[in-house]
Amino acid sequence: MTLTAKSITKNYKTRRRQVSVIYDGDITAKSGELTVISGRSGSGKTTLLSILGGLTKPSGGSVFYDENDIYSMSDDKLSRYRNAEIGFVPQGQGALSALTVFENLILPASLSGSKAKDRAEKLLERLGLSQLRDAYPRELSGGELRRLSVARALINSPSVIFADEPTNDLDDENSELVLQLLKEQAQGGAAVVIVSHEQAALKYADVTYRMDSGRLQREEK
Amino acid sequence: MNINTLMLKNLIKRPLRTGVLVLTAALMTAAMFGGQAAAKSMRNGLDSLEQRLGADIIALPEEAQAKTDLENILLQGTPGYFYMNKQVADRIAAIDGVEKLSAQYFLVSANAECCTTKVQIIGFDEESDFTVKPWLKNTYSGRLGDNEILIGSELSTKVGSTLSLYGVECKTVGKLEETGTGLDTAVYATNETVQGLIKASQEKGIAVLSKHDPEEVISSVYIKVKDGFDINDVLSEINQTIDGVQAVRTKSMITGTADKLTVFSKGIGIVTIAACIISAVIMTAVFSALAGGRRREFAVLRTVGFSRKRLSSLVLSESFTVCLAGALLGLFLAGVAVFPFGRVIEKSTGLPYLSPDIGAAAGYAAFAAVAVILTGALSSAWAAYRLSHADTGSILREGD
Repeated sequence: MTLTAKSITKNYKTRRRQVSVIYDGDITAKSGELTVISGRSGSGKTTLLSILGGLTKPSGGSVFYDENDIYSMSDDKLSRYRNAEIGFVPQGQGALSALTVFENLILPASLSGSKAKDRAEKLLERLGLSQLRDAYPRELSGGELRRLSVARALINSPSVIFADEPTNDLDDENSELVLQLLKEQAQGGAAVVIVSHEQAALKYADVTYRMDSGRLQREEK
Repeated sequence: MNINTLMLKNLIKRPLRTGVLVLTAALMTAAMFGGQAAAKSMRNGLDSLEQRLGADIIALPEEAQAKTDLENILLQGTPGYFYMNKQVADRIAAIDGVEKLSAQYFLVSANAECCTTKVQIIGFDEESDFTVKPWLKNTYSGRLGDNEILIGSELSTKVGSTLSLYGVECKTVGKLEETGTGLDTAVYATNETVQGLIKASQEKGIAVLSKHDPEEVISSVYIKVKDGFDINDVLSEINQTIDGVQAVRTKSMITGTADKLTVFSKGIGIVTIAACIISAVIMTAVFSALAGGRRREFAVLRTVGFSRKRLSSLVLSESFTVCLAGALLGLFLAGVAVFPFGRVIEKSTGLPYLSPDIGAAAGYAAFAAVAVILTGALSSAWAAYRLSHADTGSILREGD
């Protein structure tokens, strides 16, 4: 799977003015690679990730998954595609309060009707959440919720994984755990794109980009 | 996890929100169903009373109180009695245009003698009667003998058992159909039996008829006018030619009641509409507030692959389930309040009351339930649209 985004722009209209968040950004993410996009807060990294993940339509440009232009798909088709092929770790708290940890984790698999119990148990074990299997999100710490979001993004073994600040709220040990897990997904054939302003992520990166005030630039390692 | 259970989990895990919505839907359903059923019951009662009276004209003693007393007997079930000379019936029979008539005799049982309260005793002439026996519930083709009675549907006495009236054991031989009026609590007997009861009362010193000889009086005359004759003409003739009598059109007996019913029905209509509007506003406000509070949750659902259509159906199915539960609760509450307490409503409103049959009640119930569910669907439709069409990326960025 190769993800290619060309000439991406994103503008928002507020009441008083038009705000440009991304200017003409190009990015490619390939299977087997872990790509890190770094930059300061407010530089447009999260918006770019949403565009790449099919969650926010760009004002200009296109996003291809191999030969598929995802923004030419119908909402139904894109949603099915997202469920099957994309794992997304959103910034901040991302659990549904009415579901237990286990139910939150297997939500994407439940949606597609696939069996994921064994993989779910393994991910819980790997991310240190086994004891919290039947707990509800309100009983979890920020770090535990973060790890739950990561686990849920991986449950359907997606071919593309996006993680927005996946190590926020995590201590060093758990940050390493999560980054190592994402690296393994890339080594297993997934295209992994991480947005992070922390240096820790860079050492796992195969490719790095830097975002400054909406302008994306590939960095040579 | 079955993805279809997500909707139920959302409802169960937010008991306060779900409870408020269910109660709101229940209030709206109860108002609609209860209001319709109560109004229909009163209309049924009035129709039944009109049919039951079965006469075009009723002749009563001239005193002004007699008409009010008769209305009270018919509508409120308040026992009463009044008398006039029985020759009045013969004189009315001689008037041109009178097809048939039947005299009745009113008496009131002694307090707590047979029943928990006084009951109305109505004596009728079996030969000429056309207003009592047509309403016999159980087949009773025989003639009433001495001290044999028919009873209204509200009296708990069983056919075959006896009632003690002024110390006289009277055998119950039949029961009349329900009318939803005061006639349902009355006891019916032949004039001869009633005269016997009056004599028994005199022997006991109760003397309800001290001024009159029981064999010389009657209380009212029910008159049927021949086809081709104007009822008002016959009525005028009676009033002009027979002293001591006021003839009233049967319809006029219930005109005041019909007017009262119209006012009451309008009141019910206004309350129902107000309850519906308030419920719709509350539901819209709650669903709208929920939409705001659940934006992030729905954005997360988008990230895992929920389509807009699926998100909308999740919101609408929550609304449907809540409204269905509310509708069932509302129907139960209204059913419990309206049907078993018909007699209380009748007493408090002064209107005859006859519950609609099961088919009609089911129709009202279905209408109320569908209206509530549709209101819920419309109230949540905007929330569903907003949630499903919001920009997921923007929501995920909010607050971070």
